[in-house]
Amino acid sequence: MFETTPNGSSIQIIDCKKRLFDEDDSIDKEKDNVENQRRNSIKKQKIIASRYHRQIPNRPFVVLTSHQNQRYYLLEREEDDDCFKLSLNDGNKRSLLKVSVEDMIETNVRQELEELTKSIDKSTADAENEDDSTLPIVDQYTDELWVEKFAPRAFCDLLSDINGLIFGNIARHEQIASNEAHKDRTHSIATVNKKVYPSDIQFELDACKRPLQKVALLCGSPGAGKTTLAHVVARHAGYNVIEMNASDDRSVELFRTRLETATQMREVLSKDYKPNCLLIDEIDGAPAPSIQLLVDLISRMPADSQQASSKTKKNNSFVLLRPVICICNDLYVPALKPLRQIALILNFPRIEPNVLAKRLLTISEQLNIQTDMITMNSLCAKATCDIRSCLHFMQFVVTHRNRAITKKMIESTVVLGVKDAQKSLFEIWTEILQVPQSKKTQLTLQLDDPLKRSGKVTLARRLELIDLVSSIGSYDRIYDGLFEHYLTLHFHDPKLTSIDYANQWLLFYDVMNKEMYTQQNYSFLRYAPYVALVFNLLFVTHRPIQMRYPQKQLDMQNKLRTNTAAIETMLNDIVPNIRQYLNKDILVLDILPYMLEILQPRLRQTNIALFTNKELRDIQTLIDVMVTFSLSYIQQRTATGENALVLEPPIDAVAYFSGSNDKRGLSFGTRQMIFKELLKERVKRNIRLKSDKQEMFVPVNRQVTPTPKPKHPSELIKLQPKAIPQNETIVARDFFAKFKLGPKNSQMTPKLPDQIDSASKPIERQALISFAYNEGFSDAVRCRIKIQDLL
Amino acid sequence: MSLWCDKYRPKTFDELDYQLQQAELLQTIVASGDFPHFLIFGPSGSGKKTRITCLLHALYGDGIQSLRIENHEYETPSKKKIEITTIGSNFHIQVNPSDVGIYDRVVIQELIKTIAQTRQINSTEQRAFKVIVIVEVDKLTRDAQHGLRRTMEKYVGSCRLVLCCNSTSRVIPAIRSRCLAIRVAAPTVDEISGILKKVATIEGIQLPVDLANRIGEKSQRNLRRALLMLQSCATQKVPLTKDQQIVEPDWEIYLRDTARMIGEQQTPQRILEARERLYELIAHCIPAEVIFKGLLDELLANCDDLLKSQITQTAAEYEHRLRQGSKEIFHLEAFIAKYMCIYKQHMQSMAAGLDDCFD
Repeated sequence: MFETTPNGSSIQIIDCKKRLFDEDDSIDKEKDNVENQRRNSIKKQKIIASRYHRQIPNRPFVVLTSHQNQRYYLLEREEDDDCFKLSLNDGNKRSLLKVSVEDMIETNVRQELEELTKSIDKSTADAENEDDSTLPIVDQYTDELWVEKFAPRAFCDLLSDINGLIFGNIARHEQIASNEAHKDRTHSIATVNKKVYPSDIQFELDACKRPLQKVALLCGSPGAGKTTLAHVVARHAGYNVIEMNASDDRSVELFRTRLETATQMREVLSKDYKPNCLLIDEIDGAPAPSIQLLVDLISRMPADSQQASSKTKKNNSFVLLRPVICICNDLYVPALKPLRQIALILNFPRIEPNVLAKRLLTISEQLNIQTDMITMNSLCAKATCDIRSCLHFMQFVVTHRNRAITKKMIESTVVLGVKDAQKSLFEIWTEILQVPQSKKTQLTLQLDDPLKRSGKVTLARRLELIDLVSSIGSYDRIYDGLFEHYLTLHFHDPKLTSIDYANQWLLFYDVMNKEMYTQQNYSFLRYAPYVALVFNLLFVTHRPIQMRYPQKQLDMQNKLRTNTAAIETMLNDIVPNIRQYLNKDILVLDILPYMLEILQPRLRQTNIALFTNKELRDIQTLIDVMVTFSLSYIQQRTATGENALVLEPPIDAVAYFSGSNDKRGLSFGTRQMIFKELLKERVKRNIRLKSDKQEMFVPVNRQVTPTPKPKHPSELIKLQPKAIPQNETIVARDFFAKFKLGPKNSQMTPKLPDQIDSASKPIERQALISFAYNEGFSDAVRCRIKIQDLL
Repeated sequence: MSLWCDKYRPKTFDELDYQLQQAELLQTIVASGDFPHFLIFGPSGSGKKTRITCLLHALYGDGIQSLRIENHEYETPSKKKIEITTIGSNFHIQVNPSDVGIYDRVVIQELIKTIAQTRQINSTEQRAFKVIVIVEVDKLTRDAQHGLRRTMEKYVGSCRLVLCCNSTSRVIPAIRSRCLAIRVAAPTVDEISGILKKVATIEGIQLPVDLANRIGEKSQRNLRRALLMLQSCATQKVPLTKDQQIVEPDWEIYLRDTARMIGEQQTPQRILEARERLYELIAHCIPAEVIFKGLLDELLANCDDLLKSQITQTAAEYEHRLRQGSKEIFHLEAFIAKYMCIYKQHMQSMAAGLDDCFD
């Protein structure tokens, strides 16, 4: 009908308005009453408004203080004395509360507050008066957005039933952070001369002199009241709120200056000093470098900057001493990752619909709107507990001169629409796997046969689920999560048929997915969400589920990538004559397991000269294998701090499994020996290759020695001269020189430098090899010179 | 040439040890100077590539042994640069297009065209054609195989293809019909033990007959593996004894344990544990089809005869679907779940059957 017309929405609105008017006509009398009431109330408000003064009037008055610490002077009047005094009393009570609420929280007076709110709720007239007293300027409904108008101004205004925990948490956090601030305030009042910043540090009680998590990260769906909450809490804890949001430019430089000004400056003009609290709204849209900057600032340790602060504070090394509250909708934006690790993450829970409905009902009572609890409940459900959109909707309806909101209106309206706000992955998983709390009674699960459960889930619910899943779109991630968790869920299925069935759907998805991406045939995409539905039907449970981000598959992929890289580097370096027979699979499946066995023969820990024939042959093959497959050892420092020689590329990691690895492998000494032999063999082969050129021995050697691997740590390179056969003579020379030099040195100590030079020169001349990094290898080190020789 | 499987690899047809009749046939084909495209297939470790080298040697002589590695770079239609390594001599080139995954079609098209379009200059001294060896043809995507189809016929004058794969089941019939298919069967256990003995004598090691036979059986008639086993045995202990332990690859042990776990108990918890192990196997570069095969072997060994055909069929089905899909872990787990499901049902029906006996 109406839906088919192009501008169906407007027609529908008109229609519903019409219907509303009809209703109004039918209850004309009541409407008149309402109208009268409204007129009266408006009148009253006008009167009341005219009685407010900002200046001290010359007639008798009563002093009122608003939440903004503004003073108003209310004229006394004879005519409505009783009512007025009542309201005055009320107002006083509230304003008193607001001032002392800090103490009250400590003593847990929230119950009292609730009683009070209830009493306020009961007396609607009073409540109205009181409302006006907090918002003195408002006298027309359309003057201000209701969202602004009814935003909680004080800590006790918040819907504490649900948020109690979170508030406590924040309050505690803020308390820690503000501890110093409070004390600081008193101090700065008491002793004006005292420096502010050092005193901050002194008064902090924490180990790192600050609370461990300096940043609170609030996240939640839009319209839940995160910003409002942050404002209220910060103000309540005695801070001056400085807000930054997406409307501000957030380039790195500006971000830095703003951060610094916000956290280091203070208001000079206002009389009572309040420390600043930085509120970064909509941080999920900020560029990653800016967030990184924030993280850097936060994680900067105070120790190094404490000195800096005592000397100079210019060189932008300041410590964050003020609380920072960040607000985001989507916690899992990649840019937020570093912040997530250090921040105190406060997940803003969804508000219970009935609590919100109650509050909305209170508001509508205050505004004299006719409605009922059921209507409000359905409104909340439709707006998915988005407070903002609920209020907007109400205001929208009321400004169209309807003084009543009915359930029909809510159901027929398109203004609200079904919110297509994206839910987070976690919410979707919970939605799929957990029975919604409100519907617990409706859905009793049949325990015997999970395949027959399907009848228990209504069609509407199924469609809702499919919509939900397709709204996110990244099916891969959703299903990875489901796959990782479905077996941990509690379900009764002795025959395991449900698992089989679920798996078949997963396979169906996988096959479809591949088809989609290889053939670019996206017509299959519409079938993708049904897998989620199957999982819902099979595994939905009443118990609360603990979802975590699917990590295992990623871990596996990472591991696979490193292993594949190792295999590929190995494959690339194999000499072509052998490589033509190999491929990756053959290498992994056939060759590696056995080759590692061959690479690790049973060797005794003795000198190579004492080896038996068999051992020598083993080493010979080993070296041979390592050269042809161009494997090598590299030195690495293990976690325990020891040096270890590991195979490069690390193929043993590929071939050995963690469970069955019974500490195979050669000792460090053997590996070192093998490494030396390997270098020797490489040198030999290189010489053989270049022997046709008939080059001199020396340049060949010079060329060769650095080549094996230039990136070797220097300790290893030092070992080389021993390995090269030529070197033996040098060592011998050394040996003799040492004997010769010893006495000489002791006799001719005054000429020591020259002597050593002259003694080492002939050796240098005769040595055919010289190493750039082997300066220290000369006798200068080897000679033992006693202290008494030098004296 | 340090590993014995490389060291004692035959270079010419005369050095081959088994399937001599086939070798002779190949030799006569080659001796005539010209031959059709070859499709050489057979299980792993049966000597396919060895025969290809022998064939090339018979064609071109020693020249094919001076090999070099070349890197080619191609650009896909979507402007992505892909690199592929080829091994070749002056007379032939060996390429594994499946290295580049789904872009293998580009490699097939470009590489073969460039090689085939350049004719040999001096055709009197040399052969008139070059040989392109394409390995792992069964891993080529369907597109690549279709791309190969026409090229094979078009450039038959200037190049010959030698295709090499494990199984022809994944080679499209169009290609199969264009080639002379030659199956290289795996050597029998006796042949393997004979070769092992020959190698042992050259190496100067005493090899007991029992050990040789055991290795032959354990290697699953894979000659490469048998030689490696022998060599690792020789590294462990010399002289070799009858009851010497033969080294088993870690992955085989791990896979067998996993299969045993699945056979022992059928609960969701067990599936979860098995999944961990499957992840581990996949992460160690073990191909999913090998995992499938290993699981099936072990599960079949430990289950009721009545179920065997059903489970084998299931495994085949799931393995086939694995080819169509992409996430290996899904398919492996689905197979395990299916197995457990079948097993449970069987047990229950057995229990129900028990009631009939008592009636």
